[in-house]
Amino acid sequence: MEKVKQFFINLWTTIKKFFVNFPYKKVSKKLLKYITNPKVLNSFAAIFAGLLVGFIVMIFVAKNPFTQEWSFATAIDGLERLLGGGAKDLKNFGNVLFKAAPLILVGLSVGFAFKTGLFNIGASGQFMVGGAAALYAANLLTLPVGLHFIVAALAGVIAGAFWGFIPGILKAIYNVNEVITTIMMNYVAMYLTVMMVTYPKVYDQGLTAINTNFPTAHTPVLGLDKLFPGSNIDISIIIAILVAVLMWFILEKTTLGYQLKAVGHSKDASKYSGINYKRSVALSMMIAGGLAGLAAALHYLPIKPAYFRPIEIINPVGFEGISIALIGQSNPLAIIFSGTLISYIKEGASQMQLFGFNKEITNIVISVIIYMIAISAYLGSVISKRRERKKELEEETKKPNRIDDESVTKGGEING
Amino acid sequence: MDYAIEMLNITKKFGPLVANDNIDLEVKKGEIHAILGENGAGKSTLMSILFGLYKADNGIIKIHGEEVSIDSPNDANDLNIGMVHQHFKLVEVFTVLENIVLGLEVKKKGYLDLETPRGKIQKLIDRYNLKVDLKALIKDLSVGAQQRVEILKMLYRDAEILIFDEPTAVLTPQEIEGLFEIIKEFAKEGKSIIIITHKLNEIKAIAENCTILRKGKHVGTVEVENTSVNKLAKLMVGRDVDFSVEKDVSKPKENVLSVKNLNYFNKDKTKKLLNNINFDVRKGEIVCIAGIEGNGQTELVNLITGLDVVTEEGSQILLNDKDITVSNIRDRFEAGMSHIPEDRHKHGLILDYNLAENFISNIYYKPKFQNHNVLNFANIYNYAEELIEKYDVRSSLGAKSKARSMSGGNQQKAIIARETSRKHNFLVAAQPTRGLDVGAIEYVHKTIVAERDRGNAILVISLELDEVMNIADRILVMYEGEIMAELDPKKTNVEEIGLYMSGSKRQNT
Repeated sequence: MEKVKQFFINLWTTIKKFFVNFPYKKVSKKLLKYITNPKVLNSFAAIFAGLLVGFIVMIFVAKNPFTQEWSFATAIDGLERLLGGGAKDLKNFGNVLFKAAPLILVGLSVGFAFKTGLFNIGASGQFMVGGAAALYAANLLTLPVGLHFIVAALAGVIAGAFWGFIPGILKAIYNVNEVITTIMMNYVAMYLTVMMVTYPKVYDQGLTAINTNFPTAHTPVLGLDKLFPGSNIDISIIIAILVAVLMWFILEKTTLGYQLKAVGHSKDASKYSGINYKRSVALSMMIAGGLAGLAAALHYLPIKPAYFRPIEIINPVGFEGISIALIGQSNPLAIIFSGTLISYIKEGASQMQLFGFNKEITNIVISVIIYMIAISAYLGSVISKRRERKKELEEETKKPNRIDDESVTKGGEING
Repeated sequence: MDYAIEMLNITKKFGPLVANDNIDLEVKKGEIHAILGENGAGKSTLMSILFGLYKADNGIIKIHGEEVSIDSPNDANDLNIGMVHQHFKLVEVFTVLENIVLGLEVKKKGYLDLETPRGKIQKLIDRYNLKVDLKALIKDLSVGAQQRVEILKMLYRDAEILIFDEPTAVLTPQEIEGLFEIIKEFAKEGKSIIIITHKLNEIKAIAENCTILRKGKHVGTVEVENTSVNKLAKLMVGRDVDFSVEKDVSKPKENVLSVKNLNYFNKDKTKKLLNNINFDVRKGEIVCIAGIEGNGQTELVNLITGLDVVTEEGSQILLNDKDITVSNIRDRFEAGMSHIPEDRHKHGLILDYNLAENFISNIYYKPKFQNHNVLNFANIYNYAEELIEKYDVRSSLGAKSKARSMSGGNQQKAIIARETSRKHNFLVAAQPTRGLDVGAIEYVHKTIVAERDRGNAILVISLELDEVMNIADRILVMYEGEIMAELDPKKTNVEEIGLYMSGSKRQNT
């Protein structure tokens, strides 16, 4: 006991030291530089445009709930809820974070694959099998608290990873397009999980879903509900953030990330460099699948979980993951924010229903954001290319000796 | 004097860069006029202005003595100006006939009529001997045939002024000869021809006059007949260019690479691409493989470097006494191989990685660059700075420049820097000077010779006979997947190599 106490004291002093010695100036400078980065500005502009269009739609459909007449004031009320609903009080914000965790992880699943040159449309399928596996582990195993959660979550990760591995290995060995295989795997997952859900040992007739009464396997809350009283929050958001940081670290700082991104950029150049292309592709898809599986575990294991019902619909969460990855431009750290943002807008939209608005307005907002990001990515690339070329030209004219230099010809039009 | 084309005082700026600075170009009717200049000298810009792709900031254009304004390629077409671009503008999934009439379709009762044009085009084909199958799809044609389609496109539009942008860059020696015959025929008929190029001997072979541009400026216009190749080069580059590569006699020592009984088939095993290849490369010598493109050189390089894998029994490749016949690429690198690939965009560089990341693309796993699989960026960027300094690789952002944004010459320098800085004693260089201009070629050759003098074994694959003659210590000539001859560059000449290359002669060994 004394040792544990000592450990916590040490931990506390380290944390304190960290915050005292933290290079605030340097970091704030970097942060400013990051925020003024055109890519980031693009995302913010797109979010703004999405909200604007959402608001315009709301103006058209706004009706006074009592008189059923068109009312601008109701539109304003609705907008207020859409924008502010998620942060109305700590309970709401706690719920935003709670629901953000799976979204962040699904976003990471798609984003990680994107970064390595793969398009994972199968996050839905990986999510479904991951969820089923986690719930099976939660229901069928008897383990102590804490460990049981870890095992159930790992079951989800492994199942999801396996579901990603199949398209990965097919792409690696037979060069089958992963877009097609992951879509097909979504259907396989859908029918498979329908069968799995109705398995008598886990099925709860009353709920018409997999039993959610598994006290030892629930996601630990670890006192977070004290911070956000009344909300459903648990440690899943912390797990999501840590995993996002880990993914960023893997992609940006490790040899593994170097290999995977190299393969994503150029299969041929990676092969030439002696990188094992097949292994990389299979591994990327496995990691992506594992992330989606973990998302499902965090979606289905909380004390107030979502229900896994035997319905023949592909869980749309995978497509939300694509949106989140796009808004975060596949950067794992940015995905923490884009996932939270989507969760926030969803929370606002659900409150908007109080004023008679359809919560599907969120989908309008999200799709406009994505369109805007797609357009701005294109516009941004055109602008930055121009800038780059201009810079190059300036460099060129400065150089005294341009003999072995063709940079002027880059960009195509200004051929010598 | 009657000029077909007069471009006077043409100036064109792109932002701060003056691509064309007060340039004059005068081409007579029936003349073949070359425009010479390095990459980036402003040749293509000038021609784009003539063809209506750009509008000049300043200056006038006269066609047959009349001042004209060319605002679009359509205007150029109306003035009977035609252009064959360096990168062909053809629709790959259309037939030759459809491509030729595209944009000038004949209609019959509102329907597309291909029969009327077919007759006219067939006549052109017969008249100029531009052999091409009108029914074939573009994607099935060789590059040479595609070029003939481009030429037919111009002729179909009754072009009197023909512009060729680097027409020989993609052709084999035979195709080049054929092309020149046709061009001369055009000139005889009174058509005016402009050829953009940076290959000097081609200018000597075909052009009457030559306008030289350097860094956007008009250096001069000379009569080709009275100007030596060296003079032309000097005008183009602005300094004396050393064509012959200075090097001592090679003193080859022990074997580094041995290729034994190498056989290789195409995918469906219908054609033998390599037939019983045997050769060695020794320490301290440069072995050059000469041959026309597509005679098995690419396959040979791929098998040696591991991009393709040997499938035939009995074939063997040894590197430093280690059997690497079926080794993976990293093992081959570890065994002492370095490889400057033929296609620097496809294989040589990861274009979206920056320079520093590219410098470690095949050594990132070495302890210097990683610790427990975490990359050591301090060392990576130091290493990059070191190579940039040593090899004079130029780019806008130094080590952080994206490879994609760099010029071709500097991309090649970067690859050479990476491959020669790595631990190795055997270097494969596949067409190391392809697409580079004179200054860069000189640099590459010097580097290769320096590599040899450091005691490395070097295998160069080249399509340029001049290059082969200049740098080789030993020449192997390939034809249809076989080695036809082994020659000593001092005891042979281009003509003899040409005979072996075309398969009309074989050495008895």
